[in-house]
Amino acid sequence: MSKRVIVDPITRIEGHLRAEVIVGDDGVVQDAFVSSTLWRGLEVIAKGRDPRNIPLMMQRICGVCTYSHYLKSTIAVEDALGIKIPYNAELVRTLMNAALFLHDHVIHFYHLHGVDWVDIVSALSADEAKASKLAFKYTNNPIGTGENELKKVKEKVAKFAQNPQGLGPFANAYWGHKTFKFTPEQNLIALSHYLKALEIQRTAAQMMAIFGAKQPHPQSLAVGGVTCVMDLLNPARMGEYLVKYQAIADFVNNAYYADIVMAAEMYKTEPSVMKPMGVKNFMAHKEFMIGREEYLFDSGIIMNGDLSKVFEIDEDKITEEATHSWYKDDAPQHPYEGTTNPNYTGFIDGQSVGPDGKMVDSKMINEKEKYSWIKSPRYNGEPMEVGPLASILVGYAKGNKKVEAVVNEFLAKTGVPAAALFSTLGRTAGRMLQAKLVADNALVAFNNLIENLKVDQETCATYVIDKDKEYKGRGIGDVPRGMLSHWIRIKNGVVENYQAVVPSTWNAGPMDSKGAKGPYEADLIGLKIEDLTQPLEIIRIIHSYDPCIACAVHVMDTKGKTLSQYKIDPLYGGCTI
Amino acid sequence: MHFILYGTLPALDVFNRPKWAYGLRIHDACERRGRFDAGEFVEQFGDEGAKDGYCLYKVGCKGPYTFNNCSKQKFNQGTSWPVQAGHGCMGCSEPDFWDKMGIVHEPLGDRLYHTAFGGLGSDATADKIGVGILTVTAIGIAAHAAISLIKNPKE
Repeated sequence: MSKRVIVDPITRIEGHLRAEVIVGDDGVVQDAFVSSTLWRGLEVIAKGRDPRNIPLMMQRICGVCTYSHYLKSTIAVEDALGIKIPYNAELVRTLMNAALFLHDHVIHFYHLHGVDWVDIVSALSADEAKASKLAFKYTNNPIGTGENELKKVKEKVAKFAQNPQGLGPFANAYWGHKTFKFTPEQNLIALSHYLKALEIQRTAAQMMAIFGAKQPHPQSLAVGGVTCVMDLLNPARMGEYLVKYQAIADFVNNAYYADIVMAAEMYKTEPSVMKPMGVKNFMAHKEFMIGREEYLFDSGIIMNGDLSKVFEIDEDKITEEATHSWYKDDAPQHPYEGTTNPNYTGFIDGQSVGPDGKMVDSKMINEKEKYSWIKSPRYNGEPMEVGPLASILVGYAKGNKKVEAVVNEFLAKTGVPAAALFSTLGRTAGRMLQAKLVADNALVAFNNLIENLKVDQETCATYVIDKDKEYKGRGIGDVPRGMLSHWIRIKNGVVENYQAVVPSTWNAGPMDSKGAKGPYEADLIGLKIEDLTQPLEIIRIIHSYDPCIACAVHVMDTKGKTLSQYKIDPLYGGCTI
Repeated sequence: MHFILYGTLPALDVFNRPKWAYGLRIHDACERRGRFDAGEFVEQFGDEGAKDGYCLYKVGCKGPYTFNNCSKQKFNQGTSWPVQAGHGCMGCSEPDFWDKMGIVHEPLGDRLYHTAFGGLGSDATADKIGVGILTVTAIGIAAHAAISLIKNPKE
């Protein structure tokens, strides 16, 4: 008899996500449903406000990829008002983007996704001398894997193991799971990089802050360009950026890259990570202006995994529907006309597999009705995967020389066939390859900026907002989790309508009216789960998408039906003083 | 942190924010304060004043109305903060700042009517806000004083 397994909350992600799978007696997933249990609502808050305030507000959609939303929202307003920003501003935005991508991808692999691949407990039994030597197999310049360093790492984590919560930050995971494939020595190398990556991400945050004022929530964009002209004209500041950039690029090339090569070697025979993905349509948008009209990543669409043909994106074909989402308007809507009217119908009573393997009473998704706060975006009616892998595949299929080179090098080094890119391993490798491309090419933008500053120091365009005119525009591009678009309409000088179609919505959305599943759900079907009480395979697949759910959903208690209510004081200061 | 280090609760302001962090306005310890005092203002982003680090008040800095220690502590281990990056303070640590701090890149006087202050009229806005801020500040100061007296009778 088939059983239902519920994973809720899925941890080590941003936001609130729940996965429910129906598993047959053979342990194979027959059907899967993914739900976000948190409402967003920022689009509603944006209405009636001054468009210049919106980018700073929109970046607070999330605490992780704050710059992504800040940038795309700013571009949406600029597009609406018909502003062309100065070349310098484009390049500075690229440099900030580089900081964001490097920060985000490193954190994702090591701190969010890494422990799906690395068994921390196993690392404690590694021989550090052997591990230190082994590291040279994957790179000529290993980082953090000297014998002494590895010994220290072991001691540090062994101390965690003695505290009452078990392994401290590593407590409560599925250690010893059958699908962990690294040897103890390989686990120790990756564990050392996990700790090193904590320092690297701090450096990457500083890298953003040099031109961005702070990270998260940078504050140096203005509609029309950037505000950090003083930093750009200060050689000390430019030098600081460069030093931090080089440290991170070194880590990406000699730790992150090496660890993914190691993972490909050990996991290429593990069915749960090599299973072909469910949705093989990919969409990506050009991003990273590194020179005049020169972009690092390309735009395009790949259908059914066919790399021989890349279609151009027609933005009119992007819609979001809410057949199975907790909103009132079910039918597909283009984002310019999109609505966000909540219609929460809650969960139903049922039974699922409990922690001890026995069936327990549970609140369950009602898949026949509405079951998620995420809408279902479609392109021309089809589900699409977005993300680093999509960007890499589109570039590869389009013959982007830089992308082709790193993909071919990676495939040659690991002996993995190109078909393996369409898997969980491929998705995880795609993210690393994107990080490598950023690490290898951000310097082009940096040098072009220096050259241009010698002859042109414009950083911010001027503009006017005519209150009698109506405007509409969008900011669209690839951010660390995939294609993001912000859509704005302005009337009477204020926001008339606002919609954000975010990467995790494309990937995590529920079924559409035709019953077609989005990438997360489709990817789980056919997955074999070794132990229903330790569904590591599910988590590994979901994590490979780098879910960022705060922005994917439109404050909600899953037990109750009442949305949070906020009382707004009619007069400032009124009753607080 | 204060409690863990010193074993006592920190002194608080009227909004119950610890005074060690919220005691001064952004403006009080701002690195561009001298420019303000000298009347040197950035008129629009990217202009000559912006290159020279002039005061950002006219391009919307809300530092004069915001109590926080950003101008002293900065962010990301002291790497930078909004004013250093040429962008004014947005007042994000003040209650209801989205609704009360007006347009981010304009001085507080030029605001949309209905987003702020429960829809006070435009002609009167600047004056009322001015008076309002003075009143709030005065009440704030009075409340500070009163609370300080109650909490620290010895002072």
